[in-house]
Amino acid sequence: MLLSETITNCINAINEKRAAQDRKKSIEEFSTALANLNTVCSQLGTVTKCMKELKKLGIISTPVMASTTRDDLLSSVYDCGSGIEDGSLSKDTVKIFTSHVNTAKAELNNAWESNAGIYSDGSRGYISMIAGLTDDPKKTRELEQTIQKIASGAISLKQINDLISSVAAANEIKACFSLEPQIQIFLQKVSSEQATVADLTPAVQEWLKEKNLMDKLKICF
Amino acid sequence: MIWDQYRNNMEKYAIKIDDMASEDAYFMATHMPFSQLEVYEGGQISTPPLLMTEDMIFDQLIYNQDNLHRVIIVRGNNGTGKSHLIRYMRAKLVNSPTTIYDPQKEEVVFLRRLNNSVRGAFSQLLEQNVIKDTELADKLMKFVASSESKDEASFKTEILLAYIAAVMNDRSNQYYKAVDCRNIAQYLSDGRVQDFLMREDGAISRCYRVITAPSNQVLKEERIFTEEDFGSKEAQKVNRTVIKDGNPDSQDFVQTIYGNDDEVMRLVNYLNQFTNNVVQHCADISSESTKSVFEKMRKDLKKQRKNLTIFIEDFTSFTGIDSELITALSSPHTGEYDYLCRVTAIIGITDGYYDQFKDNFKERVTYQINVNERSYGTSDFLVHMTAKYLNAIYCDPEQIHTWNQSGASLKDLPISDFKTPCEWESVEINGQKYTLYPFNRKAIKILYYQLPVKTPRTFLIGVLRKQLKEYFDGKKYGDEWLFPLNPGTVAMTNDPHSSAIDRSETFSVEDRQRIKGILAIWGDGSAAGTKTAHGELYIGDINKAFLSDINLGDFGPIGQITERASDSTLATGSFPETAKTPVTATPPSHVPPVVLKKETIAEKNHKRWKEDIDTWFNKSADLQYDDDYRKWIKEFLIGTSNQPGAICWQDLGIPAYIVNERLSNLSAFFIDGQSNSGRDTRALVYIERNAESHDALIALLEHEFNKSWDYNGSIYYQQRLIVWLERQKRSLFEKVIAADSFENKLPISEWTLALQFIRATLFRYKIDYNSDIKAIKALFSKFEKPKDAFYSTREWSDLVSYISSKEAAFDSAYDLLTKSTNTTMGAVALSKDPKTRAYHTDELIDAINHLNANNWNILKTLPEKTDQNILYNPAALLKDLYPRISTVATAEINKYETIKNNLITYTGELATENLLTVFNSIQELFSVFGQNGIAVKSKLKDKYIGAPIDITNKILRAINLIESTRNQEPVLQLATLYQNTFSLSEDDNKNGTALTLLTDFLHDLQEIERLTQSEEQKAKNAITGLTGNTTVDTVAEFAKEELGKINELLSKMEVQDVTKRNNY
Repeated sequence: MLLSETITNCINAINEKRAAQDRKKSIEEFSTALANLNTVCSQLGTVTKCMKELKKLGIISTPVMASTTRDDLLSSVYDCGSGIEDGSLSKDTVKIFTSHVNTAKAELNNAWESNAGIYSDGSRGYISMIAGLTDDPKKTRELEQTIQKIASGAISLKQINDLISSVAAANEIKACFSLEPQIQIFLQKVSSEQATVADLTPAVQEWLKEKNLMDKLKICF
Repeated sequence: MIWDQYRNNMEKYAIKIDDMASEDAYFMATHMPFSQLEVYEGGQISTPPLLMTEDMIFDQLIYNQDNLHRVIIVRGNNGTGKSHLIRYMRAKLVNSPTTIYDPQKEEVVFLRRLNNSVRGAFSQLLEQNVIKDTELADKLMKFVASSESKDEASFKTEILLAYIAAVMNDRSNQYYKAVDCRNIAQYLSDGRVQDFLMREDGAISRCYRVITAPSNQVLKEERIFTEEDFGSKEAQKVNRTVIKDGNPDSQDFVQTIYGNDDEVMRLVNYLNQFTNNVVQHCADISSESTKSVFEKMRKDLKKQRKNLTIFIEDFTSFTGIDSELITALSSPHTGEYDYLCRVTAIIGITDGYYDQFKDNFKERVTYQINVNERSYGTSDFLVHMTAKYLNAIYCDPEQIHTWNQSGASLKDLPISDFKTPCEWESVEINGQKYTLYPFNRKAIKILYYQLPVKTPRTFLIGVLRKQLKEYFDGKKYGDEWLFPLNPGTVAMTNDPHSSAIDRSETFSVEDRQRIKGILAIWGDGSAAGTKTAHGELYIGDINKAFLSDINLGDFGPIGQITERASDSTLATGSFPETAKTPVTATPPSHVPPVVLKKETIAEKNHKRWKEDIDTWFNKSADLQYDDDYRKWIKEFLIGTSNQPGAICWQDLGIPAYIVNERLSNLSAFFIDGQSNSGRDTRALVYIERNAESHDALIALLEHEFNKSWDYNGSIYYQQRLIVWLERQKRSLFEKVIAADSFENKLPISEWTLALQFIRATLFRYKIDYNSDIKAIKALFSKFEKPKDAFYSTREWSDLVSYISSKEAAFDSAYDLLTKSTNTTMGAVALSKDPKTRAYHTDELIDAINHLNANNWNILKTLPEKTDQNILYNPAALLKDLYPRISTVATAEINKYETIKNNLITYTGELATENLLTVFNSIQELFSVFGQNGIAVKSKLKDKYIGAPIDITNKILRAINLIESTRNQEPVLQLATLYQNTFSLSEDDNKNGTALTLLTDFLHDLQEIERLTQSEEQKAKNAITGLTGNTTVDTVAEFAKEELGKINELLSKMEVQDVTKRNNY
């Protein structure tokens, strides 16, 4: 074979190789976008479930997701679907979708932060006041702290359910421990170490006797 | 015939080999009186001697009229005449009148030197009836008889054992302690030591000879044991073996003498003292009985009222009984010894033996007579002796015997009637005229001084007897004359005449030598002719009749014959003042001092060289100093840095450089008969052994001696030298230029230019050989092997290596070219490093033209046979090179063919279009490679980066060049191929050849092909790896489903109406 023929064959082979390489590169990018898309879809599923639970369990009263957010999300879902269909799904398309999901996430977090405390503070405050007077003060205090931790922590389906069950438990303790106003004032002073002998009014002393708490309180100077 | 009779007289009577064996008549007839004998009183020589004649000694010492006790020692070296003197004294005594010698009152005993072994001494004692003791006489007779019959080996063993026994029994402690004596005895008993002592020249053999030597043998033994027996190299060898594995006692002793000369001497002296005991032991006689021999004799003589005169020629023969003998003789006849007779003992003894004489015996000596060279008196002694012997030879033996029987009176000595052919030198003795014919005084003196040992005895045997034998034989047979024998290097003093005789073709070589010998030894050293008033012709002061007598009558004088002075009627030598002086018995009062002029070193050398050259020519002897002579010849021919040579070589067309190279080594000169090794066949200058060469050498010798050509006789020598040179010239020239004729000198310039051209070509120097001057200038360069050269073929590389290995030969040829064509100013020797540049351009141009005419291949014109020398070496090299060049040229073309065929497989026919296609493709390929990140060596890429048409033209030009050489001579083919340079690019090998360019091009194409094929395969492999991925489709389907679910979820999702909320 003449050298010029050999050279021609070589050049052709090199060009073919170059084309194959390009093809391979685009497939790799599509695959990456698909993988990212799956992740985003999964996140969005969790967000929407939490939003539904908050509403459903009464922690919030109004829908969490903004209508614009849903519109954006639907738009991205459309774009991504189209991309998958024609094989042109890119990382950028998925990236836009991700940013919309993050917006939904932010709306969820705001709703949780704003409403979880409101939902749990009444019960949590009460057991906080009477914790020392209950049969199991430690457990009561732990419950109080759990509620506080959940309400101030990140939102998830599990957290939502834990908050609901913890508030329910606090309400049960609260139901067993109903007090007169003057008793409540006395107990508040005791818990803040401001109670004096003068506060030991007869009603207070009666209530202490009734609740068999005379031996549990000490006078300090 | 009378000549037979003369020879018979000489050999039978007058000059016997042992001169002492001559009978009394001739002894007396030839006796020469001693005129200056040194006489010392007592045994020492502390007082100055008295000088006495032999007659004075006879009268005052031998004739003992006062009856005094006398022990007279006659001393002298061998051959000086001791025995002669003693024999004469005895003869004079017994022939004296009764008033002096009365046999009734004086007993004379004469013990000869002839029988001077112990056995001989004993025999003489018995024969002369000296031994009166019958028992002792029986023992001695038995010893004499047994020593004759006894086996030599067993006798020697007996002698050795006697020595060993003597040592073993020595308790004297004088030399060694007893324990040491035992060790010495063990040492002497060692078989190896015994064998060594009993060797032919060993001590025991000497002792054996001393005891038993045949009666006709004259012994010279004085000491039995010598240093050679224990201290010589051979003895040391024996001693080493004894040290190694000898008996412990002998080992102890031998350690003391090994390498210690003093101890060896001590042992020698020790053993020698036992010699007497050993001899007595072997003869079975005791010391006392021996002593009693003379005691008894003296007693008996006393009783008979007689005295004793005893003559002993050689006391050495009494070894064994010498001390007893001297003791018995030395006792005076007075006092307690008055029962003994008076003794006059005359005892001959050599100086060496006397020196060993024990001091106590020296005390017993009453007189010493010392016989030496001075005892002969004046130099006339030899002349007179010669005359007497000649007379005895020429006389009728009857006359001599009658004369002797008649009292042997010198004045009555018969004079021969020998007729000389002409008037001849004679000498007057006791009033009688004795002829010296065929000798003269000068001849006698010269012949005597030529003797290595100068004694009367050696003169008689070595001169008179030898010369006369040849004279008598010549006269008897008439042909094949050898007389005179020239004993040494006596040469004529007149070299021109000598040379003329050498060149005379009238005479045989032998006769020429005889003539020269006669003129040198008998004559005045020349061949000049003189004539007397009577018409007698003399040649070299020698009567022509003498020459005729010895068959040289055809020889005539050289040069003009002049008138002979009237008083020069006799051929004379160096003794004119004493020629007619009669012998007198009166001793001179003193010995005349001899004044010798001290020779200078130059004179000594001159003499030494002269004798060497003369002997070489006259005696056909080898030259001893030929190195000197060859150097002279060399300098004469080519000169030195100080003087020009005798030949104007360059005027004759022979380059000085060639002359110097050819003649600078002495091996180029060979003299027939030189002692130094050399090969005459390889010599350029061969000096035959003939008269002409002889004269030439003598001429050079005289020049060397006189340091110039301006000296007496120089004209003659120059003429002889020029004659020699002119005769040698043509042959010399032809040998120097190594050509069979002067006209056909070797084309050295052509050969050396051809060699330079070949070297330049193969080393790739550019030579414009079509222009003669340019070519000459270029070829006068010294070509070096290029560094880091690349050779297109192995054959080319091999030839370059071969040339490098022959660098010395090429350089020699280069020197020959550049220096032999140059002109040397001054002496030939300066041609080595010429200071001028005056080249023989015409010769060089002719050479170039001839080379061009032969296309630089002159193989056919080279000589078939090339000698190994500087002139033929270029031709030999060329003969060797041309075939190799053909091989290289063939290899170049073969390789070209191979490469061309290979190239065609890549490019198709090597035409412009095809090559352009290839280069375009290559450039496109490199471009694609570049775009795809495929690396290509920049060196390779750069070669083909230029315009394809330029590269194509380079390739085609290389091909065309090679194709154009196909019909050229190989040497020019290589010149064309190697002198043009090619390269594909500026960065490429700029010094490539056409073939290396094509080779490189082929290699590049091969590399590009490999690269191309490799990259093609890689691309194909990559394509396979990039196709066939199905996983992504599944993932996409799943994602689509997920998106569908999300879409549905969102669609149903309760949301805040943000627009409304914002409105709030």
